[in-house]
Amino acid sequence: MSQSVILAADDFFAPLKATGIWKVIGDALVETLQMVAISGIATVLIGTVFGVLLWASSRGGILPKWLDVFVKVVLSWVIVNILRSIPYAILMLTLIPFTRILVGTSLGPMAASVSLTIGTVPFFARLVESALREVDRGKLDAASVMGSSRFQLVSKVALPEARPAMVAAITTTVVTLVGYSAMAGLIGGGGLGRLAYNYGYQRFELSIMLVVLVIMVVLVQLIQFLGDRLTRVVDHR
Amino acid sequence: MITVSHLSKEFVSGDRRVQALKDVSLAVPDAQIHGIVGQSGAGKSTLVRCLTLLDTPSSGTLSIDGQDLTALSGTDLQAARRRIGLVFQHANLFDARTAVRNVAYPLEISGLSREKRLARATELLELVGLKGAEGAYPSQLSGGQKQRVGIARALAADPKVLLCDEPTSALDPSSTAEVLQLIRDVRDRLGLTVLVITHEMSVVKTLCDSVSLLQNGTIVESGSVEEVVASNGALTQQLVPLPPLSATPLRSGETALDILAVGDAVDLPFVAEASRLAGSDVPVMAGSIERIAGGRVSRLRVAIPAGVDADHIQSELRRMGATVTAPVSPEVAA
Repeated sequence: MSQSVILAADDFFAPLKATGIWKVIGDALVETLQMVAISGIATVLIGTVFGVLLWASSRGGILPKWLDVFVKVVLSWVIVNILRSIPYAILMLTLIPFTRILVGTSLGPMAASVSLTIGTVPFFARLVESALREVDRGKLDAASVMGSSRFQLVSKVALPEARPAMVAAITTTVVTLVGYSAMAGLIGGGGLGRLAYNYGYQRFELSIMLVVLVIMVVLVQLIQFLGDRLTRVVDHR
Repeated sequence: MITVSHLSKEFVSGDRRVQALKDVSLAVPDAQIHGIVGQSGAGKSTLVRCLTLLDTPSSGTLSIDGQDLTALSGTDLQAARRRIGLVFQHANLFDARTAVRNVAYPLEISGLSREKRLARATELLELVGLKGAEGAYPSQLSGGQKQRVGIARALAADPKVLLCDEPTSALDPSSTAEVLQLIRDVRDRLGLTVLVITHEMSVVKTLCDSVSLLQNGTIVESGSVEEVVASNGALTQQLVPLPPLSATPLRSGETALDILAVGDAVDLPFVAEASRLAGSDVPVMAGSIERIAGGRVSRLRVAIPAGVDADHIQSELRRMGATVTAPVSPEVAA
């Protein structure tokens, strides 16, 4: 009896002793980090611009008239609201042809980052918008009265004042990206998601699934911890 | 010299039209401190937003040294705004910036080099008595200190006019006194024209040279503080209030008289004279003496006994130099 339990445990952990498996796991982690980093940077850059436009349009009086109409119709309604209602699993499949046109392939971290970015930009843009909305109106009035241009109002006052909420928004978005990247891995992105699927699901090597799980949990905890730390550092309220 | 002429502001929402300001005119000469007082809802906030060009007036003009600011837009408007420094009720400092970078902000947006603007901001912080607090964030400063930083920031772009919107309404009494003193100092040193919008009569008493009373969007009284007090109008009642009249109620047959004296006339023996004319003692029902704009003002309410010619006493006291009126509703004993 006791011998069979030991044998079962040996079976369970056997895949982890296979030659080269830890290198495969390491490569998968690097691919995941690449996907998260590329799509994270792209999301923050594009999403901040969209978020500022959404906020400026809802606040009124900052954007020129034509841009205001554009933002209300195209950005707010079409892009942000419609995109946000499409589940990521479906979005990434739909975007495969578009990805081929854009990066020439639908395989690898770079290709996966296209759908990851498009999937998280609307979410991040809304977070930026609400972060900016939290900025006290009196401060913006003060900045206007002192003769700030529209651009200065955004770049020198609104965004710096919203910095703690922005850092928190980036943290949440990066954590979401880690989750999405596992999904993107299944259709060609590679990374830890792909690894868990190939080894854990198709070859039934549950110990590898477990290792991926642990790495994911540690990764998310680390991101959240760093994000919270940074939020506190930039918060002078 | 700041001149506001025939300024009106109307808000339209659907079918409802609200006339927040009606034909407001003001002229404040250089280096004068002018107070605008009014209860909440009188139109003070709307006036501030129009004076800072945050809102466009429906009609009328605002000009500084003869230049009409209401006609400007775009970059001209941005430049014009720098001629008016605004001090807010809640200092509205930028939390993400240190004190010195808050003060430097107006210079930063006008393109002054980092070195120059920080040097100037440090100078201004010293001027408002906050030497050494350059690196402090607003959350580390007290309410009074924040307001000092706010004043320094308002001064950074070398404005012609300092507009203070309820500058002390959020402060405790000792910070209030310090901030008012600072505004006075700044006026004396830099020769600024100052407009103070407030609901606090103590601000008018200690700070202002001239004052206007805003009621339902119009200016109902205006003039130098001495003139306005001597006129015995609505502002006099608020600036020199009488304490509650419970001590000596008016008995039936008696007539109440209010005796208002300004300046040296405060020293004259009005009550003794009234007693002499009445042929009996005239009791004081209530009284107060205030120091307003550096001069003294006294206001006494006396009870003229029954059967005495109150009109005669009124005209005699007026001849001595007092403003005498019969109060509209003196309290009568039950």
